Amino acid sequence: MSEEHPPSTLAEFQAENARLRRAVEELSVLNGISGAISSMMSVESIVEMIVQESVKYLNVEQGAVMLLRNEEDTDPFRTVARKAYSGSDAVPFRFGQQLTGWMLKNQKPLLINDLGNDVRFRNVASPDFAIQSLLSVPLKAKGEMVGLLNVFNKRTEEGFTIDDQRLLSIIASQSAQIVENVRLYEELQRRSAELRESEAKYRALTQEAGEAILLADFSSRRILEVNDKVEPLTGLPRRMLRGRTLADVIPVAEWSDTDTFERMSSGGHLSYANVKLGDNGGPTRFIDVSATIVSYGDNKIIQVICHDVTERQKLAEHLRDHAEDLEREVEARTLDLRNSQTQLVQQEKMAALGRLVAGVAHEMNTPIGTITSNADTLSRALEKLDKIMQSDEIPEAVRGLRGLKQVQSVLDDIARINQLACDRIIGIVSSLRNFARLDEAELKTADLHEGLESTLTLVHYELKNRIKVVREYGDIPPISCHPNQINQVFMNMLVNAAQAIKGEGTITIKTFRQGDIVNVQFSDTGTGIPPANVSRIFDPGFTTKGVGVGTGLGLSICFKIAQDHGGGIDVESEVGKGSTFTIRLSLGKDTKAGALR
Amino acid sequence: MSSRRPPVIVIVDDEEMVLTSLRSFLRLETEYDIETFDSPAKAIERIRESTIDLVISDYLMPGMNGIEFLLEIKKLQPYATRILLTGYADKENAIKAINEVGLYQYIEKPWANEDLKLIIQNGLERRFLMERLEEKIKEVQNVQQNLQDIQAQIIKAFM
Ligand SMILES: Nc1ncnc2c1ncn2[C@@H]1O[C@H](COP(=O)(O)OP(=O)(O)OP(=O)(O)O)[C@@H](O)[C@H]1O
Ligand SMILES: [Mg+2]
Repeated sequence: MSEEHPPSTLAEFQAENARLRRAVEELSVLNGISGAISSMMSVESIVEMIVQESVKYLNVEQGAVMLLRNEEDTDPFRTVARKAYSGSDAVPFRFGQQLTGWMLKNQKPLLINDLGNDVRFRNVASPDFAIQSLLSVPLKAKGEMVGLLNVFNKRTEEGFTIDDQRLLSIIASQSAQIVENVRLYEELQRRSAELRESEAKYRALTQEAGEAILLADFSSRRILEVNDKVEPLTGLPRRMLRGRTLADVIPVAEWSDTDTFERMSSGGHLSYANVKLGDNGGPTRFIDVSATIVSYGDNKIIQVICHDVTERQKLAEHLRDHAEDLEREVEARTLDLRNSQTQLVQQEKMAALGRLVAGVAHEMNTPIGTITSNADTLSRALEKLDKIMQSDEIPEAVRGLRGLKQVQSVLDDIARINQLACDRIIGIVSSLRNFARLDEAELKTADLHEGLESTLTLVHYELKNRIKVVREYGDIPPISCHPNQINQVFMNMLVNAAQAIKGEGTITIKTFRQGDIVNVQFSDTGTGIPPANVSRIFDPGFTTKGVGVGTGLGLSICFKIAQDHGGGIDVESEVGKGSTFTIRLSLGKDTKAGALR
Repeated sequence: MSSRRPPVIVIVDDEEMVLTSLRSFLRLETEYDIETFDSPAKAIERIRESTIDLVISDYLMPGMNGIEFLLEIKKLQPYATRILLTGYADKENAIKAINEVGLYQYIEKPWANEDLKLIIQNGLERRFLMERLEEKIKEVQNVQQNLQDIQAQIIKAFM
């Protein structure tokens, strides 16, 4: 505009007038647009208004704002507003590749009045209306092209002018910021919609999932959100879970380990099996934990999935318990077996000892028989000699010899003592034989007092002068039993009692009947048994005697024998006073003993 | 008859000490003719030669046990009284043998001299009773034979 040179001609004046009018119109267009922006119209309507104003003002058939797409597509532009001169929405069209390419490449206004003849742009696709002329200016924000403002088909003869181009450029530059805002806004909208959608999806997923899921902030490790499955797992309500640290809720040390999180950030994940919950007062539960890092835009979130394995764990524990039970049972059975094995071994030993004793007794028969017989023969011979010496045929002088008398009396004494000694040996041998009773493998009816006496003869040496034996034999009938086994019991009772008596003491043997049971009671004035040991003395191998002194099998075998004879053994003991063992034996014939060897 | 000769007693035991004590006792207390052998074989040889009245045998001996031996004697001299001297453990065998061998008695070791003496006395008495019985049967048989002969002569005389 040149104000310094006044118009000289009408034409010039007219032109100047027109120019002024245009400037006013331009300004008013721009004013309108600015006003619209300041009136905080919706962004869609602002863009529509820009197109509308451009179409009207430039007097064209159609106009459109196209924006560059963010994502890859065959058409890099997306039409966001399209208007026809009538004010109605314009028919759709597509810029061809050549036109698009040109605009992207040159990023400056393009003015074409005869498109049909322009060799550069042949295939502008527009099925419903033919584009004859066009004016396209780039929309630029911060120096970068974000879209295009286009107008098509000038409604005047002359077509698009440079002025049109300048005006559209001004509008475009004014609108660019708005358009950029639109773009950003739209982006925002789209993203938030997407986010909303994925969030909804995620929420649905986490709520419906069988697993308990916790989302926690990456940097603080504090819980942001949990799904419904977390509450019953932890026993804590959702509102109390939010804000807690992960470590509070799931006791895994790695929550505070930065290295682990570095690894997780680069795609790794953390997993734990059998983490125990419930130390916070909740129910005891076992979970498998798996944690990964997920990104929400710029935010990193720790996603923790908890798989409840309590049942599995319970099952495993149950199995373990079961296995332990089995083990215990096997152990008990093994012990039982070992016990019965030691008892068998001991019984076998006793049987072997019995055979030995019987063998020895048998071997002794001949020499003892001989000595006994000789002692008797000697006595008889001496008697005869004495008679001969008394006869009249012997001269008085011979009869009166002092030496002869002496020899005779010595021989008499020896013969008498030999006979006593032989009687003693015969008694012991027969006791041995009685004790072994090898010939009595089956049940026999036996007199227990006889058995007691036989046994006492055998332990005579152990008792000797130290221990007095008091017999309080009652009226008991003979019982059906294995005499050798019963004698073994008596023997062990007597030996135990004798060993418990330090120095002098008394063993009292009492027998009495109670219904179908015969009792044989051994009371000693020995050391007694401490209460703690009383329950153990019948255990095979339990002994308080030194190694090599006791095997600790004695009482266990006695107990078994008494049991097999339909009875048992009772103990009463007081430390310092002594002990009483009562052997109970069944009278009856139908005892288990019948099944024994 | 018994007064004709002293009774002959044979004792068999592989143990010299048993033989000696039995012999000593019986010689001191009785008038029997005592013969002792330390093996069954030797005893059998002797018994083949002449009559004996009583035999006492040990049970367990090398070569032949007492029961087998006494069975042999039973065949050779059925009237001789048979006595088994056994250890306690062999009692069962002795009892079994009572019928098989026709055992008169068994005596357990160690024995009592007095018991042994009585058993031998009774055994000998039995043996002589048996002999007398045999003699009587023979006499009766002779008489019967005579009677038959006489009968036959009478029948002839009347025919
Ligand atoms: N009369 C008793 N007085 C005091 N303690 C006794 C008496 N009888 C048994 N006992 C205790 O019971 C333990 C077991 O006795 P048991 O007869 O089973 O084995 P033992 O006597 O030690 O060995 P073994 O019988 O092989 O010689 C003994 O070691 C002893 O401590
Ligand atoms: Mg004991």
